[in-house]
Amino acid sequence: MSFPLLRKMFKQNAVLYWAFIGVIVPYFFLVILMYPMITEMLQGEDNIFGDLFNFGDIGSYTGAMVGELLYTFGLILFIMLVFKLAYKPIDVGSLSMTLMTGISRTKYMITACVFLLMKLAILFVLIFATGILSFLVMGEEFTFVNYLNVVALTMLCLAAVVFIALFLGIMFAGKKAAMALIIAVPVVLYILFMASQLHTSLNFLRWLSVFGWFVPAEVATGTASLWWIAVMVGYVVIVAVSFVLSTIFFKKKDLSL
Amino acid sequence: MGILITMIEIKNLNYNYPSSGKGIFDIDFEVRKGQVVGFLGPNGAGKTTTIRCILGFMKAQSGTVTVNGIDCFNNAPQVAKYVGYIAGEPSFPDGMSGIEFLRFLIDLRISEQGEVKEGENKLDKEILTQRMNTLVQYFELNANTKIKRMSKGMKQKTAIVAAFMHDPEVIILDEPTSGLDPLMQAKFIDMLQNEKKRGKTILISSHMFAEIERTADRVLIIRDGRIVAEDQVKNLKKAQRKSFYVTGDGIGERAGNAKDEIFSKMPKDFVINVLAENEVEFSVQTNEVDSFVKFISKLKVEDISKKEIKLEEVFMQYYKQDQQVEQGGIS
Repeated sequence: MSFPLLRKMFKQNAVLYWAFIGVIVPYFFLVILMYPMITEMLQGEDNIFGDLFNFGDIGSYTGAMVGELLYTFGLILFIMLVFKLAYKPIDVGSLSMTLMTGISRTKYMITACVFLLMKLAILFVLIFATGILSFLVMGEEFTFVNYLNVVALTMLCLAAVVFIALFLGIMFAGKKAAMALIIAVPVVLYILFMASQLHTSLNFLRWLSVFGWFVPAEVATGTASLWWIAVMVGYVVIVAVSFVLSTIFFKKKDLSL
Repeated sequence: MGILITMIEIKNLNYNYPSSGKGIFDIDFEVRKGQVVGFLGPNGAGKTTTIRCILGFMKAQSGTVTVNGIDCFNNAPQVAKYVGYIAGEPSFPDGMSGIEFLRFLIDLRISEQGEVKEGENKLDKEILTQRMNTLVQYFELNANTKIKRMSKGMKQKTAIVAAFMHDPEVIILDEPTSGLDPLMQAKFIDMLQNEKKRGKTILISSHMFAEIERTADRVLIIRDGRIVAEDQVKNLKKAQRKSFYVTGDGIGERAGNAKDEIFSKMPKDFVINVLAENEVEFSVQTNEVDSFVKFISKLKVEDISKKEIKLEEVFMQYYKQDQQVEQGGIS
């Protein structure tokens, strides 16, 4: 790994990153907090689109609007995060000058992946700390381990999407397709996840999207089966395989620099 | 003795872009230590692809490319030790100033090459920084400006400093003066000449014929991915038709008169361009100079001067010849 390169990756757009973190941390916190409420609300009801988007009274205009905003806003934030994390390292802009310093492509790729993981780790720590603090302030009862599991699963899910996007981005590095794919990957996965919740008959779609592999509310309340541990391993495998494939592709790729 | 060392060696290099059918085909040349070689060709001729193969950004589909005997694709990081490079359109990272970027390149180079070349010529940060500062001053670059706010010329200067600050043995330049004002272009050419005196090996691709003419020992002309001419600049010029300006009373008028007693007997290979009533330009084949002298001795000549052939004209003649052959083939 190259420390000067890692330092540079962190310095670039640092302000934007921290500003972004400042928005996404409370957002994640809010979503996590609301998950038990949503599931409780949906208990005994058919899993229908209207219910999913409605955080309050289903007939309340404000409730529906807040739900819409949160989900749409969440998707936009998520795409921005994936884009920010996955696109920058393979931005071929200054790559020619960087490679001309004698850094190997493998080392470059390892540094880029460490950078991604570190950024996700920072996000993880912040979300975790914010959550604990908020629970304490609100006087809510919570189980430390369950909350840790939810945040870790969410972050690993995010890491899996980011690394899939990174791999596809590397395959098409230097082309407009790279940017399009990095945006399209989270959108398609998210749409599949949302579609799976439209109706029980579409439930199978959740297995096609990494977002649907676990139910955060179940993990948070400790009612989930041990399946979530397998999910966690699955995410780690996706990250590892994507990293290895990205490195191999990047090493062999013809770069139009 | 040093001049015999081959620094860049390309043998039967082929790289084909399947989508367009373009690429480079059977490229074969070498650049020896201390030589400056100009690489000429229009856009899309294959100059940049060849350069990308030398830098290890692209792997040749067949053939070999080496710098100082090291395979360029498989050992690209080692090749980078010797090479300074200016891209045709240099790009920079966001959010950094010129000086931050240059310092980052120094840090990265030191951290990488410190590992690669244990003991031998280890890079010194202080020396690199000094050289960077000297170059920044020489090109009057305001390096504290954020790169995204820099003009094209300033970005080009930053790229030049980045390419030269580690004092590389081999310098590869792809349109290096693009975006620079004439004053800076002249300064850059002076610097290249100085680097040449210091024994650096330079491959320069450019559309600016003046900079190649002033610096290059040898020129490669590439067309449609193939090298169509390779020789010393003076030999290429020698091989071209000679042009002479001839001044004499009414000579232009006479040249335009098909029934003129002398001009009607002019050898058919001579090409005349009437410039004024009293001035014409003769263009003759290299082996016809003697006939030309005999021919004009019959005229009342006041003055005669040889036209200096520019590299641009040599280049254009190669392209015209090829186009004529192509057109002949079609008709």
